[in-house]
Amino acid sequence: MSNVIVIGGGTNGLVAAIGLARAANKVVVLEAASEVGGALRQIEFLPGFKAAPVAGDVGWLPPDVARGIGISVPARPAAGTVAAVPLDGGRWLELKAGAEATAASLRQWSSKDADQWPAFAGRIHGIAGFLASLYGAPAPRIDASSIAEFLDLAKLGRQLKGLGKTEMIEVLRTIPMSVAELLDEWFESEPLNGLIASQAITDLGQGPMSGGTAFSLIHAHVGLPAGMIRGMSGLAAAEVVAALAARAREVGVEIRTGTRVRRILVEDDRVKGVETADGAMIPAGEVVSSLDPYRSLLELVDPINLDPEFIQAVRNVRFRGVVTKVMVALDGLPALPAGLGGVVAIAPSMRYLEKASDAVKYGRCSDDPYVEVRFGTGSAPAGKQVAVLHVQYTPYRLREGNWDALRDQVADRAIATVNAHLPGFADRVVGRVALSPADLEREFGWREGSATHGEMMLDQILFMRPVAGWARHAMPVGGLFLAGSGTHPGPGMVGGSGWLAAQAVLAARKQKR
Amino acid sequence: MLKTTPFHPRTAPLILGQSWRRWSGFSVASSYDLLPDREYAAVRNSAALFDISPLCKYRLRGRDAGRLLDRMVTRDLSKCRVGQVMYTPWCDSHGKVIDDGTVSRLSDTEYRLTAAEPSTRWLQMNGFGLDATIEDVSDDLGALAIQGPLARTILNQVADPTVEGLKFFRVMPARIGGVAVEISRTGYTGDLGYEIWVPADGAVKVWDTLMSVGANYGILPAGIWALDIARIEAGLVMADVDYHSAHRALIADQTSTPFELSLDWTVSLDKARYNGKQALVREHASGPAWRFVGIEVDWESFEALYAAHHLPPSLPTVAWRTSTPIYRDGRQIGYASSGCWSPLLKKYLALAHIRAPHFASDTRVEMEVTVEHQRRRAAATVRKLPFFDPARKKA
Amino acid sequence: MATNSYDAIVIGGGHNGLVTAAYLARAGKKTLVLERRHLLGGAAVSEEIFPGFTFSVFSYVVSLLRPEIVRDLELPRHGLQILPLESTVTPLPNGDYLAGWGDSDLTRREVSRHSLRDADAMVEFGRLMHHMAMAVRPILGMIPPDPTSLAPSDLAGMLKLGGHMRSLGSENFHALYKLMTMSAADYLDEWYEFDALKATKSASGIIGTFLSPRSPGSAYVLLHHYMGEIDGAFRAWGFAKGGTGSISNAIGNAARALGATIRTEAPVAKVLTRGGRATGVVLDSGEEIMAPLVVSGLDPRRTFLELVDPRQLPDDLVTAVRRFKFRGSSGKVNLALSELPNFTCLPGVGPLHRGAVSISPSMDYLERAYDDAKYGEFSKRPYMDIVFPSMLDPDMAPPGKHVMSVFVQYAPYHLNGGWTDAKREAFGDAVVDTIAEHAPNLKSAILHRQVLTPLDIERVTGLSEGNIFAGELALQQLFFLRPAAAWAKYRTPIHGYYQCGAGTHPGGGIMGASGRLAALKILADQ
Repeated sequence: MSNVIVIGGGTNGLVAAIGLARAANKVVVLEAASEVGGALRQIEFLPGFKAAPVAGDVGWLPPDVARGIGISVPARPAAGTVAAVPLDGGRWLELKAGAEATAASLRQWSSKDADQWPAFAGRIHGIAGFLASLYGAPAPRIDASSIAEFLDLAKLGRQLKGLGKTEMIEVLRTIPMSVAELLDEWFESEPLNGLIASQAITDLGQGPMSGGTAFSLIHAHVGLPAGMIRGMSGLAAAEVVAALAARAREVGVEIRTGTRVRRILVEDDRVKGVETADGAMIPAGEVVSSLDPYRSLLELVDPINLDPEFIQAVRNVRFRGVVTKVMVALDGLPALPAGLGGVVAIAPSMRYLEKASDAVKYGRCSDDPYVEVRFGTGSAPAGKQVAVLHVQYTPYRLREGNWDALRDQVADRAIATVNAHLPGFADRVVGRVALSPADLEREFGWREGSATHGEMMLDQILFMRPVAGWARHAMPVGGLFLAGSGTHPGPGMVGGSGWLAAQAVLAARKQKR
Repeated sequence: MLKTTPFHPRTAPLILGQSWRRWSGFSVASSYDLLPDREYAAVRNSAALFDISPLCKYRLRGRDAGRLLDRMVTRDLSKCRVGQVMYTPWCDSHGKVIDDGTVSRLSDTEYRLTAAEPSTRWLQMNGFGLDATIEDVSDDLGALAIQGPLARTILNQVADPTVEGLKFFRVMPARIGGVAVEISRTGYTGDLGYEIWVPADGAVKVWDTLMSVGANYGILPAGIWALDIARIEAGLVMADVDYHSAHRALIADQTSTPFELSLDWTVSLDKARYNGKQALVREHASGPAWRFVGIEVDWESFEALYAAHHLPPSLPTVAWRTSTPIYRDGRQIGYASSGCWSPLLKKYLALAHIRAPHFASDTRVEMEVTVEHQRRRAAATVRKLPFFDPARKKA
Repeated sequence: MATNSYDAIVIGGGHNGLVTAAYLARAGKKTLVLERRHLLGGAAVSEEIFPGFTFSVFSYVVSLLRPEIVRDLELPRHGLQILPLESTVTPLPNGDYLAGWGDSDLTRREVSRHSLRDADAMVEFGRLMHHMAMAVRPILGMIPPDPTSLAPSDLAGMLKLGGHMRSLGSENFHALYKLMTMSAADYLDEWYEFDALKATKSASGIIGTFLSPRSPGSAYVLLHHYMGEIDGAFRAWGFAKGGTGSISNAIGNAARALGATIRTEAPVAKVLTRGGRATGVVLDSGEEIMAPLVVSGLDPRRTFLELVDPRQLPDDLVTAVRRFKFRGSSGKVNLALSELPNFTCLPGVGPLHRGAVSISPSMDYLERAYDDAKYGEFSKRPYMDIVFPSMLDPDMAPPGKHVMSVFVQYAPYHLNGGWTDAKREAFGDAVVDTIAEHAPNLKSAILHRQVLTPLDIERVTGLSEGNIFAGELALQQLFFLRPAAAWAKYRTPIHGYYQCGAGTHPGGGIMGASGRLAALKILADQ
């Protein structure tokens, strides 16, 4: 029985730890913060007001992962309105949990769009199903050199062919498109297009007219029921974290919070353990890092242990955080659609989003940002409310100024933007705390404030994630594995990367024997 | 226009036949005289002065400068003391040679690297996360090589301090004609010789000083043609001629490992991790597929090919650099990448890449020669390099 | 009527149509080419627009013309002569310039002035592009297999493609994947640091597409620059003596020499069909010409929605063609000059005039140009690629005078409020004003000016929405999706009716590959 260290106690780290502990390992999870949960952690941003700034929705829990680590977390199937765009005169364009309900709701705006909706939802669901089948297995290797890999590849081909002729063409045709082009083929209502497109650009430094954003829309839909185009897994972040932590302890994982790792120790091309911030050495045969690829490989490992070509590839991973989170304390709710279970999106049109995205190219924040408001999240004193604002585009790399100077301006601008579309909102605000991309980097350890540990764009997925040739979790240093969402299959789900990383550790051991 | 070296004001008027050639984007002399014969003779007889300024030169400074270089090159630089120079190739992660050159350790934290090809990007890639600054000093530094049996005698008259105590592959600061320079006992001729690294603005002064004192000892400015013959006799590999940089080769077959270039002595198998180490350790265990060897053409056989046409043997007047097939028992087993007539050894020599197992010394092979427009094969013998290695080189 | 019946009719005398005709004639088919205009070439025409001044009116440089076509049709014998374009010079905002010269040592020295690292990177980047071009080359010469099909020929094609991909090795495969999916800006960011260098290189990634250099999907057009190099026919870019029309004329001459008949001023109104088979064409004049083989060199929209009744076609094909993106995004300004523009960054007449001048000073500049266009305006300060053909071929202008060709991007076909004469002139003014900032004598040197908007390009050449590639070169419109799934193999659902234009694989540029592959397919089907 040998020691395994898992760096980072987010969901991927915990899932990896559980997967390894179940295979009879002594596993230690080292978490820098005072509690586990990573991105799902709640913060008390004002006295009595708590919210998880980034995890409005935790994503789906792949059934394979849940089964593999032996947990079950009840999902409360979304009901009612999952996303809504406020329109003039207090009216709303709403997406509902089911395809039929959405179609009915859209009919007041466009009967054409209402008619198209079920087919559109079905098309997206079909393509997402194909992606889901890729996400449950190690990244395919196109340069198959062994028979086994070639069989994997053949399986991929069969899965693609299994979609049926039209679906298969649609997969190949749709994935490289821009979401703007895709939606042009289906819908005419501008707010509907804006609302759908806003899902496709979330966390990306691109606007809806950029190529590859259609993929991003479909990725967000993987694991969700047909018809639910806006992500709503129905899982509660706190419950997921609690279940994982409990399960980890149950299978004997030791969790050390408040323990920051300073270095991963390497000798003769193999990990020897880690050194913590307080100078302690913890030996281990394997180190599994759930931090992002850049921090894991280029900050924790002495670069002398890596080939320059590999270092260059890791440096080329694009992070480019563009989101500021604003946690808002409210003394009450503004007028909202009845049965709103999801978000209010300030996305009146695709053009609005595209305009907002222009700023990022010049290293500025959007004058009129895309803002997504999540009400009823976190906890607040009696009679009060919490809302979390996702504000995009606010680039980590500013051409002028710095985030300490800009943070409050961006927060004010975001609240004003919401207020312009949702009159009365600003009057309810009694306090707010903003986390800029720079703050998110500091607070959560994400490079450049990128919640996704690297942009989910076509060139950074599957066999390219985190870097080409190293997409199967094992890194060039012997015994070092990556388990964070910067690896295949990536963000938007619970433990997908952690689970595959644990399998990779076990497979590597078998090979060594 | 191509670039000119800091010695251009002195060299240009001396090139009688306007026989210029390109070297790394610079114009330099192929030969100063109309024929290279006297210039070559100076290398082995008195002293020849080469303008080698087109070499790429980098200054690396900082706490990790040594680590940066050590992770890059195949030799163990931890053994390189201040004042020492090491010749070394460097490789990519597959163990394929990118370039070769010398590393001079100028102080605890300062090194100079010479390279055939520009290397800023590769140095920066290797320097990621390390405390070292990389400075391209190629245009700031002129370089002269004074090579030949009288090189020391001449330098001792102009250098302060003298080079009397300077050992083979050592470097020292000195003044020549009042100009602060560095002198290393290195070269590309396989003879007694020194290389002088001089700030560009002092270049002409150093040239004049050496030429005026050297005149009493038969010093001659010499061009690339003479250098090429000397380095073939010395068995020294030339980038872009005898091998292709792994960063420039279009296919893997065009690349070479240090073992394939017979540079085994430059490969440390026990130092800590460096670029290409894993591949080189594996190759060392399995044995290289190719070796870089000398080829000595059998004179009688060569003469007979011409005699068949009633002609005397025709020898190249300058070194050639065209790939030339080498055969054994009728099958091609390799190729020569450069060759020349050695005026000193009176032999027709070539440097060749030979496939295993045919590279053992004294293996009888054949080299293709074109006689009266027809391809023929002259008998030849595989020889260990160098062809010429005088005791004075290290003495 | 024997004279009015042929083995094959090619609609459109553009270079692809002519290539198809030449190959069909070479195989012994009695072939007729019908061209709407009075001259051959489509978008590859030379015209004396102003007395004494000849212009390559639309397409103006050549790099990709397939060497096998040059050989098979013996084009040099029929008048093709390619002159080298030496360099690319980008004037910089600070009064300096960035140049890529014909000689690698000079280019290295020049780039080193701006960035030593980039000068090194250029060598390795060039090597990577060589590998990418080698990887793509067999695909350009391949009839696209249908991945959804189980037909033996398609399976064999997919197998061949799969084998080719594996033979690349993983490093090259991954590099190719990145090239296909990334933005030009991000791709170049991995190699270069000097902004103007990235801008100038990425500009070649946006030519003819309605994408910004920061949009994924714009990287692989970078490859076009390198494709010409490996095939060795010319250097990266060349200029046809007599203008690009002489390429079309050389192909036309070759076709005639092989027995084809070519009629100009013979616009086709409809393709005639009977019982799901093509039987011939009817001209605008009402004249009917019969042939069992009809090949359209026009773009997919005209081929499927205008020349035939779309009701004859399957719904999914009609939908796909309707969705096929044209979105012309570029214009052209042709100037007759009394003297050469004197660029302040490199004063006097010099090598800069023998190559291209690229107005691409920074990435931001290109992005701003795109921002104008994506919201429906032409770029106030556009990206421009400028050449001076009379410097390479003195016959293009009267002695001492010059012609200047300016490719301009972006100019959207769907301009807010639509294109008018006034807007065309305003567009021309924006072009001239922007160049004049770099070459102040330009305005006084202009003798005549021709401004072509995408609408003009559509009107004159017939290319829908003025798209110079007969349909955008976007990833979802390439290979077996060009122009539509299941119909990428030059056939159409109408028996005997084929497509050969640049709207089919591989399309784009004066390449001729679509025309050649179509002819090979037609002949194989016989």
